[in-house]
Amino acid sequence: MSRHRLRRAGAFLILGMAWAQVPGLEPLPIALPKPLFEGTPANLKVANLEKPLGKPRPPFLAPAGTTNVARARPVSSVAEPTVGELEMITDGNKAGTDGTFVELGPGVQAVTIDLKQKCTIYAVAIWHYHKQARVYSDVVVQAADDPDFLTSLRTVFNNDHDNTAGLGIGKDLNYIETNEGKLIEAKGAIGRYVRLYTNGNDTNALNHYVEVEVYGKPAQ
Amino acid sequence: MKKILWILAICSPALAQQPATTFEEALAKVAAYEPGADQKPIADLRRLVQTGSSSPERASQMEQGLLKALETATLSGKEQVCRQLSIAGSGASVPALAKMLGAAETADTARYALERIPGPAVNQALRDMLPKTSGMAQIGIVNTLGARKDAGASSALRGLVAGSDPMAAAAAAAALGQIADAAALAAVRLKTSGALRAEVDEAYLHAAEQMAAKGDKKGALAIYKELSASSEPEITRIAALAGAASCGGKDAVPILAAAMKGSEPKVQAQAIRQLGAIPGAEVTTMLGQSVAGMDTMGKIRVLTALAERGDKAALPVMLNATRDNAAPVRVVAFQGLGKIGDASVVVLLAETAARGNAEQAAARDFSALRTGGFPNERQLGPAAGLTEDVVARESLHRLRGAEIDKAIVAAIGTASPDAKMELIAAAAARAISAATPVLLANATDSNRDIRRAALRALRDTAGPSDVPGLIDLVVKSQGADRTEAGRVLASALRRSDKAPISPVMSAYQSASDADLRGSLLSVLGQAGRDESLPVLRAAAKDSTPEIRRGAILALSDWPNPTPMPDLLAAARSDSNPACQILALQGYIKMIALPDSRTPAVTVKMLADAMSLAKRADEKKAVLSQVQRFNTPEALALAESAARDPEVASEAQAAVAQIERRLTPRKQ
Repeated sequence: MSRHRLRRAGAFLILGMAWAQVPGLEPLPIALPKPLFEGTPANLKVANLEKPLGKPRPPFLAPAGTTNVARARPVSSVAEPTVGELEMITDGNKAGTDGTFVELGPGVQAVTIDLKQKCTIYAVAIWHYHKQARVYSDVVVQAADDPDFLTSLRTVFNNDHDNTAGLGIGKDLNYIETNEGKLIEAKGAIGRYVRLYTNGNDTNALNHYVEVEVYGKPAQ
Repeated sequence: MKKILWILAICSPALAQQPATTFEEALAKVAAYEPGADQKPIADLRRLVQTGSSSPERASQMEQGLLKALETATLSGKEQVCRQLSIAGSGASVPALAKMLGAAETADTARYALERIPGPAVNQALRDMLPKTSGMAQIGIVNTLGARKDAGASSALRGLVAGSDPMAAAAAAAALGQIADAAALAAVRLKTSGALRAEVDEAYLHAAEQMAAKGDKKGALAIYKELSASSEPEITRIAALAGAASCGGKDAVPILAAAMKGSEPKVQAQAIRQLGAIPGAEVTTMLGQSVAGMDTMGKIRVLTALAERGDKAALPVMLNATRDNAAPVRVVAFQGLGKIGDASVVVLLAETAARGNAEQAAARDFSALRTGGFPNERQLGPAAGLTEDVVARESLHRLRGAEIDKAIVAAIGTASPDAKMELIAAAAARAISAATPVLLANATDSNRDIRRAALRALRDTAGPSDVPGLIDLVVKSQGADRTEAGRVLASALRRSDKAPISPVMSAYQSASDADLRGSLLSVLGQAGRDESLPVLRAAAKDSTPEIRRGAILALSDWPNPTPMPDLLAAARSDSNPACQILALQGYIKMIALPDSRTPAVTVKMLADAMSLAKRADEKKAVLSQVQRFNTPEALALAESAARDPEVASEAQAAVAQIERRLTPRKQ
């Protein structure tokens, strides 16, 4: 393990311990869908790929009362889906089987969730497509106060390492889709709208969403 | 290749000059033939015999020559000569060939010729040899008598069936089958048992088949009836039922009906399958009446056969089966309704499909299900996915006929909410354009799920003539429904040039509500019709920022770069900072649209955009596009941006990319 990774792991450990000791923190009640494939794929040739944990993800602690504020909230996109309906992204069905995901055309595509009120966001959980061990490109997650994402824009995740999507260079790692989804720490970002970008995946140029959960509380 | 062609060119005149081989020359060589020798004389002899046998006189000459050669030929030569005798031979060849039947090494060769030579002399010779031979030689003769369908050999063959050699007995039974001597077989089969009985039965079936082929269908049917009796082995009965249906048609119905009532599943399945293929109302009635007395599998088989027949007379039976106690029977019945149902079953199918939803919803945590009007029940059913609700839905979508469409449209108005959702989904799946008015009415229903289902269905049903109705829907809707209604309207406009855009422009002009005006501008942008550009351009200069915003977003959605100057102007001079940014974002997005510009022109446009960008976000968007060009101008633009700390990383990445492509690679 590199010195950088050791330092990072240590930081997470300390942070985790600190959170665990803070009163009022509770694990997020994230329900996982059934796995649709087994094992870790060996032949993924994707740069900057996060190493799979090899075990279940540890619980994520958030302030008590944190809920999925995206559930059944309206979702919009510039391009119409080619498969499925946008509302499937927040309908609570994470099965990932045919008929439970939305497909958007090739290239950079974004979906925007209107949380209907300004929220303090602690985490965003994303299931793009977990029937296959895929890696989606240029995953960017932003929160903002306005639908045009002009005011108080915060980027909570960005693994576009070469600014392909035009949203700036991100330092987050690429990751493999599984039934656990990707849990992104949003560090209390405040916003009413959450926008998620992708730019195809390592299997094809299309973009998919099974479910997105935004864990937060109405902002004070 | 060239070499081969040269050799051929040189050799071909020499070959052409070679004298043709005569029959006698070829025959002499063939008579002396040994395995591994030159095959050309064999081919020559075959050709000469085939050509010569068209003339009786020449054929007779050749036959004499062949018979003479047979006397002295080698064993392999005899084989070749006999092959030619099978073509040129006649009764005159029989004595010589019959003599060969007695010797084990020549018996097969002789039979090859005898089997093909016509005439009663051959049959008599074979019959004469039958008692003089045994073992494989005798079996060979039996086979040849069967192949020649020699009825005169029946008596001898019958004796062999009853004899002590089981192999000869089986061969004799098969030969009797080929001869189609049903009487002989009928007589012997009762005296046989075990493996030989199976051989005799097969021969008996073969005999029946031949009798049917010759027109004796009554005789054949009698045999099939005899062989389909419950006392017969299962495999024989199954074959007999197929034969009966094939030759008897309606006359076979009593035989098949009797077998259908039996307890052996495979026999019953065969009987029902064969009955299902026999046309006629009386067969449908008989099949329908049989359902009541059957077990679950029997019912499933009969219902499947009735559905495959497509006879609507079976509809009452099918409807009755939808109330059967056994779920698999109900599933098959609902499937059957999709094939033979009429307008009267529409509501039943919709209610069944909807009832499944309700049951599933009650049984599970609703949060785990899809919502919004198109619940995907298939995934909720058992592994096979065949539940009543699923098949009822499929049948509702599959039923054909204009009256079905009418019934669906009529039922939408009166159905319960769950059934209504199913009917709306069916209208969409069947693209019933006549459903559009009722869907428009339901798109403003107080039930959110019905509203959303109707809006989605309108995408598949709405046509050019529905534009006014869709505009009205956009006007009446609110929030997400209005957005969805706008998409439906834009989709209808995009699908057909005949769909008029002017009513949308008029609606925009007369609207006072800013949100509505914004939605209509968005529709104009998504539709992308040139005639609406003046309206959007005017809106981009409106005094109200919300309208300008709507117009800028609509222009940014335009399918081609035409509105780029308008967006650039707004990015430069709009008094509202948000509108400026949105216009610049739209302009940058449009630069990426396909166009015939030169790279230099595009990079200049990007430079213009960069000069207008005040925020890092737009600068990053520009740099994302700059890095795709391999021009010095693109490199200069990226290098210049690298001095801006806000976007230094992105600019440096762009510089590195462009330089890498501009630098010639080392060989």
